[in-house]
Amino acid sequence: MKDWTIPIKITAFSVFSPAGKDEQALLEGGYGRVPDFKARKLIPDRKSIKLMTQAVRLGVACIADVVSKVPHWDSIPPERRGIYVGASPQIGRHDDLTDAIDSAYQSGEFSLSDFAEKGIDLIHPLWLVRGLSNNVLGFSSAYHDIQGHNMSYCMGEEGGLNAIKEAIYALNDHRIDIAVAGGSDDLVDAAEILGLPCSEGAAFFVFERGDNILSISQETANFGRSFGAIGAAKWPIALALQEFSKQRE
Amino acid sequence: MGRVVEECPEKHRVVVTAAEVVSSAGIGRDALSVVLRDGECRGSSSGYTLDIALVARVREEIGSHPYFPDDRKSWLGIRAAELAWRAADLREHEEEALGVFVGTGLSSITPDELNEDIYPHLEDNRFNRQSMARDLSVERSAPRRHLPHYFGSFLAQKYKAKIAGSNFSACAAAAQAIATGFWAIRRGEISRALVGGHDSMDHPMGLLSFSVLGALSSSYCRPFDRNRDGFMLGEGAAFLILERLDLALQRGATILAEVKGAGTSMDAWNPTAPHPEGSGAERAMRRALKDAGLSANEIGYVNAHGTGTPLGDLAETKAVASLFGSTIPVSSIKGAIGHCIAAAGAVEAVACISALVEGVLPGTAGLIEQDEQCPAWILRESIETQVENVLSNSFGFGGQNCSLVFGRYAS
Repeated sequence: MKDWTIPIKITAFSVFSPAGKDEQALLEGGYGRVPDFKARKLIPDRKSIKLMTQAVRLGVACIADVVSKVPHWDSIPPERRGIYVGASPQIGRHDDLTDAIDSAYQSGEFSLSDFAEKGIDLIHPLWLVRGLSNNVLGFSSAYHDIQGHNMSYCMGEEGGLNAIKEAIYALNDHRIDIAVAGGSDDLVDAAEILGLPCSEGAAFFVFERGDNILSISQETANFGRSFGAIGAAKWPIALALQEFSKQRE
Repeated sequence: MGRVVEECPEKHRVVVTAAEVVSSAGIGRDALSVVLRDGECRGSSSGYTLDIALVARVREEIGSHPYFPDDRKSWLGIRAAELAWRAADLREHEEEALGVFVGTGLSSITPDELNEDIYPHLEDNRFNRQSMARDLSVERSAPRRHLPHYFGSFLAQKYKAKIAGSNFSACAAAAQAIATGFWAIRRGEISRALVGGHDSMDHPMGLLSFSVLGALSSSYCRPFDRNRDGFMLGEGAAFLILERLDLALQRGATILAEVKGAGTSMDAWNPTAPHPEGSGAERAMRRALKDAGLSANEIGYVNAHGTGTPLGDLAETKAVASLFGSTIPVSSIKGAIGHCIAAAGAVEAVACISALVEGVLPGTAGLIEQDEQCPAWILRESIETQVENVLSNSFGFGGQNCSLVFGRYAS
């Protein structure tokens, strides 16, 4: 279905899905939250966890996991490490702003002056920063000293796939020597809005230059739907299942 | 779907055949050039009770659009894209593979929308999510507005693009969109690209988010000044038409400039503060030079990200000085037209292309007394001089950096 003509090597991959992390679990599919996901166990920088939305936590944890599977990671200069991420804007919790907005509604409708006088102090100073879609890149690049080329794609379901594509091109152009690429998303709270099953998840790959052509089969593409709406994580998770099955063969 | 990549044995040269902008300077590239030549600050009273002095707004009437009835940044984007498309006169060349790459910003929320969308769902000081979800699930503009890739998809459909990418990288978004389109043409994946960005955070929640962060100036924006205290929020949109050189020549297009290289980097330091020595910024600039096949002394002007924040300006000038020394002219246009956030990289790319075309380097509006800690030659006023190559910086939250190199076109 999709077939890049550039030879590549998948050095490692990691997946967090609502069904679990291994092949059998992925084959079974499922909706909702990633079971037993404990950000505090997986992200050493506990102080910053409060600045991360659930989608960012999933992405950051998944990248930490996949990087830990690359034994020669430290031997590659930080400048030659790239990162490419598909992600959505991080909407955050609805109640991030509740107190501030409510303070501005004392007269029955929104009052900007009340908001300025009373509301602002009730909002976390880094509220804007929490909402950025490039937070997975920001945190992960700092944790794993990734100083090289990068890109964030905010394209719904296509985001993760485009991140992988751009990573492959960057390797082929010798702009970098190793790339972390994939996607993470959290659409669980959007189920009622979208009117269909929704999930959260993340999958990331480490790519290097190699001899294999990366193809995405129709079967894999179809599989991407077995978690409902899972946003930018859809294609990377589907690709992870394909890799599991290749490894088994 | 077949193969999505064609092998490209040689790198194509990429040129700019249109560069148009909608900003607080006015509609079109000429309006921006005049304001930058004169060094005029286009800020006006914010009109909000928030502790913010100036906002640089687009003063002209910008028509709404039925697809985006309440999203001002999309109106700005559509206007700028139409200007660029018309200027390039591409109508008869739609058969060539086109890509659309857009840097886009966060959603805009007005007080009216707060009244309509949020307040009805507050119960006992908490949001009733089910109530809000039911409300948003009916056909209305709000959910559409909150999908950042919707605008890029709209442009891709309108202009019959082969591929589309919406890139969100905070304040580096538009520069990264331009870089992505440039690389896609150079490697032969597409023949032409509509690239740029759009943003408007001129709404209470947008201003609030920067205000609580302490990023906005309480008076006016003074990039590189010893008394600088933050930026002035701007709004705008800018789009370029990039083409493979041979195709542009074939159709007799007017070539404004050549895109010579692009470089990106991560600070790998702190999601909310730049590396104090500007090492990430320096890497982006160095990579852009390498990508362009140029040495530092072949660059004649640096358009700085230069937001007017104490830490950011210091880090950037250190990076510029370490790479170029202090003999290259540097300026920031954000004191004139404000910080256009996700659109900034595209608006400033247009300013750079104008500098090449007209032989005028913009000055730094707002700068009175240069901070002696900022070790660079900062242009206070515009100067007339013809340079061959310019470099434009865009740096975003998260430590995401992008530098672009444009050059005068020489056959």
